[in-house]
Amino acid sequence: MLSRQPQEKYRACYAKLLRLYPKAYRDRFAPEMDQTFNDLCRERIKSGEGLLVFAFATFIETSAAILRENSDLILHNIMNRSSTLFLRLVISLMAIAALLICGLGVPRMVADEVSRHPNGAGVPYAVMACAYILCIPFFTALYQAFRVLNFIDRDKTFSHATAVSLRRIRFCALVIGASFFAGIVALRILSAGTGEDGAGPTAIAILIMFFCLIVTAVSTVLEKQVQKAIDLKSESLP
Amino acid sequence: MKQVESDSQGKVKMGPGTLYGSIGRMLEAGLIGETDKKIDPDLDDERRIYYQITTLGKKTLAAELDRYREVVAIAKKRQFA
Repeated sequence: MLSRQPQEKYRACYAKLLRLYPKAYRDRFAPEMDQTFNDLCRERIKSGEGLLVFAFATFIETSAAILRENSDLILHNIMNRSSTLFLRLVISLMAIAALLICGLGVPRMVADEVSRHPNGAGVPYAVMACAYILCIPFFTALYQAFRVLNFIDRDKTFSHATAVSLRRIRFCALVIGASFFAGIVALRILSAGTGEDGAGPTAIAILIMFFCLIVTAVSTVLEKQVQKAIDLKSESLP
Repeated sequence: MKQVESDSQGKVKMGPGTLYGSIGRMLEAGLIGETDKKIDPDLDDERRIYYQITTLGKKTLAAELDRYREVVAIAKKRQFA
């Protein structure tokens, strides 16, 4: 088998090097760059010049450009994400706090309550079960909020998927708020006549309900705006 | 690339990496655009893409040249050139 011409070898190496460019850049310019490299090689051969030094210099120059394009892309991604970075951090902290409360706080509170009132052991366990069930809508809402932030980062804010996520967040907030309302009512009924002061848990529940109300209102307004933008976009299409 | 080298009397040598990086940035800024005009039909290849300066590109170039002229004028005025 005949060995390949040096030009072909250099061209194959150059094509491999071009694969290191970011995908969008590679799809756009790699065929042209490959063609240009081939043209330059051909011209040098025609004029009787060697290829080794030229190929080496071009590889170094292109490697530097690859490094620059990749670092530009990384920087661009960081800059784009920085606007939603704070909100991501808040959501993550809320998730960590909820996990800590469910994993450590709730079992401890139930254990305390059971040791204080051994006869009424059923109620604390029921409260614990409710707390864990409420984790489902809570973490669903956090996940949907993360999805919305992802859509914002990808310039897909005004999409049907964003509207769906906002609707789910609203639904989850309503479920949590309604559950806490039912919880307050149940607590009042159960503590009636026992002399127990349920002011502390009631205050916390009212605070959570208020927070759920805000989330519901905000997600409703945002969903309407997103829907309006989607409608406008579809109207402007020919 | 050859044009840049010849215009700068061999002082500036531009490789494909720098050239296509600049083309990408100029395309993004709307200073140049693709064209169907084939400059050299003998060298034609379906992968060969030609670019031409846009109106915005011409305006930007004119503004940049004006800025250079002003700098040269100041240098002359202060007897640096």
